[in-house]
Amino acid sequence: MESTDRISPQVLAALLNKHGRGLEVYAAQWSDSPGDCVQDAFVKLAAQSPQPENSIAWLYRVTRNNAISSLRASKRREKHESFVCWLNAHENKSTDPAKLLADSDDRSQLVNTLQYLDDSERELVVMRIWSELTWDQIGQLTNRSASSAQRNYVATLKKLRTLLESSCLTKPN
Amino acid sequence: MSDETELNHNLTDELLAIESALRSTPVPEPSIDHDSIMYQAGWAAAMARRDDLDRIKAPPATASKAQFWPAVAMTFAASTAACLMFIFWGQSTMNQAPAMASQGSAIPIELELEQVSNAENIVASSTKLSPTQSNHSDRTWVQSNPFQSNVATLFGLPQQPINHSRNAQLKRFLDEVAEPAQFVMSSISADDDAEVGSQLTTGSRLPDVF
Repeated sequence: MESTDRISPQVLAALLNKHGRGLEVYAAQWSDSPGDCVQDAFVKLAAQSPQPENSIAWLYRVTRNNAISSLRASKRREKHESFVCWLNAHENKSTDPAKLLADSDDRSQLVNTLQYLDDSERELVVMRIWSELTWDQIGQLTNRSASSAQRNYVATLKKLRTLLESSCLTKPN
Repeated sequence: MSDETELNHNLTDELLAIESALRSTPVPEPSIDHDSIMYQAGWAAAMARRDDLDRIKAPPATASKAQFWPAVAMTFAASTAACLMFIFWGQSTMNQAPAMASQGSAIPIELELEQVSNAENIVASSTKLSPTQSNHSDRTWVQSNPFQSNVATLFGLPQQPINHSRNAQLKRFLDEVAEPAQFVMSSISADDDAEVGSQLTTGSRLPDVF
């Protein structure tokens, strides 16, 4: 009876392989130690009985709560800048040096614009781009409909484009 | 996915370029350890399963709830009975006080005299005087003790028999102790304090040096 109520190890391992990376990026918006937040969420999921109907949404919600709790514990204030620094500091250095030199400037500029987004806007981009969630899942996590999440995402991309244009205009050659 | 197709129709080329640029941004390598997470998750699942089994084996909570109110009622009844007993005891003590007062102040003084005489018996026994020289016996003092009789009556206890042999034992003990003490004191008389020791054993006045 209990074995059917709880999540099986195979399903848990599959969830970890598919969403572990996205969950860590998602938790990095608030926490300095996103890996710990993700690990705690998976451990809680293993002990959860009965298992949640939507395990992916449950994992993201618990990871978010853990990350926000660690943010309160560490009393980190500049969380936007820390997230951008975390992304830039972990850039993949194994790419082609020539391509890296060509793209790194534009890419870092794009990443830097993320810090000017609101919390909900940046969370939407992270869930869609790096966590690769569907619109239904994003709608469940953000307590809105899937179509509303899509509209907000498009508006966020337009805001990013505006920010990039303004930064290009102000950038000295 | 259908929602992906619907979204792409809403995106312009510029927005698609921004989205693709974000997707191409290198995501940090995951720092999480899959093996460690699966190990911790296995422990958590096992402990949760054990807790479930303990919960099943535990007696139902209704049994403890059913025993709660009778226990409370019994405790309340016992405390009430104890309070009533103390109140009754206090009233009986107060009822005896006017009766004693009506007999005049001779009875308390007589009780004190009896206690003093009892102490005199002990002292007399230590000095090898006969306890019969006292005017009052132990039996008289014990029977006239209102506290002891009231407590025995209140709690329904049988009247404790008066232990006449207790004072006799005490007298024998003091006699046995007094004799060696006299020998010790007499041995001191050979010293410079012989005079003092002899005076102490005989109960005479202390010398003027003290």
